[in-house]
Amino acid sequence: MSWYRRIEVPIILTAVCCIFQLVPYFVKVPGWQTAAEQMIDWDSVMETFATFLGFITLLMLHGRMVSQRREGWPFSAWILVTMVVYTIIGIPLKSIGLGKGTALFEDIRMYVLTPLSSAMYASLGFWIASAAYRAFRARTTEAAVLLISGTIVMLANAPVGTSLWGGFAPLKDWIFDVPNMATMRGVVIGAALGALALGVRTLMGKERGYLRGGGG
Amino acid sequence: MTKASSEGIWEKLQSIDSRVIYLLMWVVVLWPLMSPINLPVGVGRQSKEYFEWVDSIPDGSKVVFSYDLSFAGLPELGPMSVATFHHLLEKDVKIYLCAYWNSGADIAQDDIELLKPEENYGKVYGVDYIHMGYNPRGETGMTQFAADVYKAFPNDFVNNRPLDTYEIMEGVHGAEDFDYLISIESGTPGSPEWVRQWIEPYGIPFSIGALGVSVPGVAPYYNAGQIKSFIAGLRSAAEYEMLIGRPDVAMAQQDPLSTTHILVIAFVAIGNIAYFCTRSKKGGGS
Repeated sequence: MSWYRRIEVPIILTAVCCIFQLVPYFVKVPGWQTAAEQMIDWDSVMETFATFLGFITLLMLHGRMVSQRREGWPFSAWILVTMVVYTIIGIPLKSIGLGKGTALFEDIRMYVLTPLSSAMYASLGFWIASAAYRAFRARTTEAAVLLISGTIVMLANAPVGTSLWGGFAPLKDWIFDVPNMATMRGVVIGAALGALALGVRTLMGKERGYLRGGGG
Repeated sequence: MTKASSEGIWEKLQSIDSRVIYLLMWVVVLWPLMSPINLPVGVGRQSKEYFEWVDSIPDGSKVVFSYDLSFAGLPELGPMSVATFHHLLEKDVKIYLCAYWNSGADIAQDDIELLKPEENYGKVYGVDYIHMGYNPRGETGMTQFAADVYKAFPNDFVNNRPLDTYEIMEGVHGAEDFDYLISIESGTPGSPEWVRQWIEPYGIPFSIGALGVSVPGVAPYYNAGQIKSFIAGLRSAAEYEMLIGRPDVAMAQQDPLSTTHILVIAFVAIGNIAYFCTRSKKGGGS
């Protein structure tokens, strides 16, 4: 096997890059700092290529879906149309009315993209209403606690709740400051420890999930 | 017969068709929008803290105001960004707008066009405020901004001119040259990334505006003092609009917020009453 195809090469590269970024976070070493910043610029260039690669991958994936007439292929065709058309509209050629800042580009953003995105998010309100009705049942003590605290928070968030009784707001603050804070702190610390363990394993070459689909 | 029909009612009340709930949601959203009830909105602790924090920024400070939000979050976060930008424009501070979400730069531009800083506040673009644009690199981009603003944002968003040609950029190189940071955010990248790359290494005071659902996640950072103050959700946005004396979109949406919450609570109550009635009847029969 050629040396550059060996599994050790990406592991060494990952470890070197990690150390380059880790050291200046804790210790100020002028030369090292410059090198770390340089690597961030490289990362920017790579990410730009990755965006282009993502575009091509999407084209190939959905192009295959359409050509093979797989289930849901009209949606894939629509993705291809919108992707390609909006990309063309975004090409910076203001002399022919294309690119950011032109009427066509901004109108699509303002009157298509913005209302559609907002509508997608707003529709969650309907799902939540239906889901809360079905799932919020006081079947157990834990569920009852969740139900009561949820109701207090909802009443404190709506003007009608605080108009009915001023005590909802301090109760909500207590739920936020004490049980919620304690739980979330545990979650954040747990996730950070997990990330640390993952980082150490990656640096040591023991974590290979990101390489060749996990193969060794 | 009577017992059977009454059991039927409780069971039916436990499985109301979703379409009925959706329809009623429509009604309770539209009705107060067409004929407002104007329920009083009290000011909560968090909005007051956020207002006081922004208000206490000293004259001459350099404030980074990052639009880390999506179009989807605009109905909830849009009023916060407008109100915060208005509040900052009323002060004698230098404002550096930027975005780490692709839609953020456009939303910031919309806010500039809405508030018209030159006409309404006597501010000059490039001297008192600047729109640095969008950085697509998320957390890495924040690191890059902290190290060298001109690499993170080579040209401004409005005129596409090199950033270093503007007066407001004199003496500005990286994070250590800024005094305050505010982020209005939809998700990732957001406050955890800012905390890691800006707040902990440089100790910059930081406040955020977030979605209502993000509140639990903000708690540890707020409690640790890494986030000095925050507003979250439409209710906080309305309270903040009241505090700055500029009631706007968020205030107008407070009545539907009340009616929809009441509807959800009513349905949850119906579901639970029906559940307990069915359970007690089943328990009694056995």
